[in-house]
Amino acid sequence: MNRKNDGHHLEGALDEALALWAQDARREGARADPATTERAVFARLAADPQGHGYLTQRASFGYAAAALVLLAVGLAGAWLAGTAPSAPESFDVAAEVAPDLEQGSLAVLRLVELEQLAVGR
Amino acid sequence: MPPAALRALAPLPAPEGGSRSGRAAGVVSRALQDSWVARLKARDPEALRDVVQAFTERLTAVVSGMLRDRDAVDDVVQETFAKAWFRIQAFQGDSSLYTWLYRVAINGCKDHAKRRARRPAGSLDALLSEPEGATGSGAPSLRTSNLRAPTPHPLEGLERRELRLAVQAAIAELPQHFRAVLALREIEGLSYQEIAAVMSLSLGTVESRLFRARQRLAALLVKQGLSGGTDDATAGP
Repeated sequence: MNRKNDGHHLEGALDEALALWAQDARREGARADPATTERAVFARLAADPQGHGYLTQRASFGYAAAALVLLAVGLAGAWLAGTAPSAPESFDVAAEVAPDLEQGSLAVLRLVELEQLAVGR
Repeated sequence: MPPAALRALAPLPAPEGGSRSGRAAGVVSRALQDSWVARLKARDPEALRDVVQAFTERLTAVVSGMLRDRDAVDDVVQETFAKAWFRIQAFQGDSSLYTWLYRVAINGCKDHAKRRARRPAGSLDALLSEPEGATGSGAPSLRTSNLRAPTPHPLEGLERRELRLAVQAAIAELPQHFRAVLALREIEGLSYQEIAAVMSLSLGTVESRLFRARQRLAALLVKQGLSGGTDDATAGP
């Protein structure tokens, strides 16, 4: 029960605190002078008529370039990692297959020779 | 601040128009906002003047909730209007102009915080612009005149002044994304749907973020000794 009351009081206190904070912020807003803001904004536009400082994010270009470089390095690494192990594998396979092929071709040659002999008869 | 301080607070006066914020006092119709957008896209500087006149107060209030330094608040608000002028062609019109301006302003607050964080610790530049106690070393900043101090009412009691200071400090400790949702909700009185539109979040995320922001703020206030008091409240029959 006590804990429940504490919870209610804390909620109430929090609401009060937030209300005070909001009240202060609104007072700041009410104190702002739109005419002064307007002058400051137009001074900014005059100082940067093309809006380079507002349209482009110079820092993000740096990040984008760095990200591209990292991506390229990553892709290159992945490609190398993908191709490197396969080479010995393919050699192994070739080494296994080569004798079979050799025997196979010899057998074919023998067949051809036998056929020629048969035809010659 | 004594634990019972919060109980001593008198009820706050209702805001203008009876709403939870001053929003009702400055309502601008969607049609008028759309006409400003069209004129801004046609590069009409008078439209920008109208927008600045209409929204300076409300944007300043919300940005004041996010940043403590008055210079920084002015800077972000001015920057928001300048961005509106240069980026208006990219505005699709799927939300109101003011919703879009909120988004630009809140992103401006985040950028400001990032710029401040990038400054080397202990630099003169940082000391000149950091709020007091925010330098991490406990050392006071060199410039305190531009820090926004809570403005007490002449008849306001000491306890409420202390509470204002405590709340300011606690809010300043909240992460930016929590401060943003609280500012939009408590200062500007936006609905959850409107906050979701401004911050490009789902409704559920807005709800949970608001809940967690309040939880975090309550914990910070309790840490500062603002427990809301239990002396009388817990004395049941």
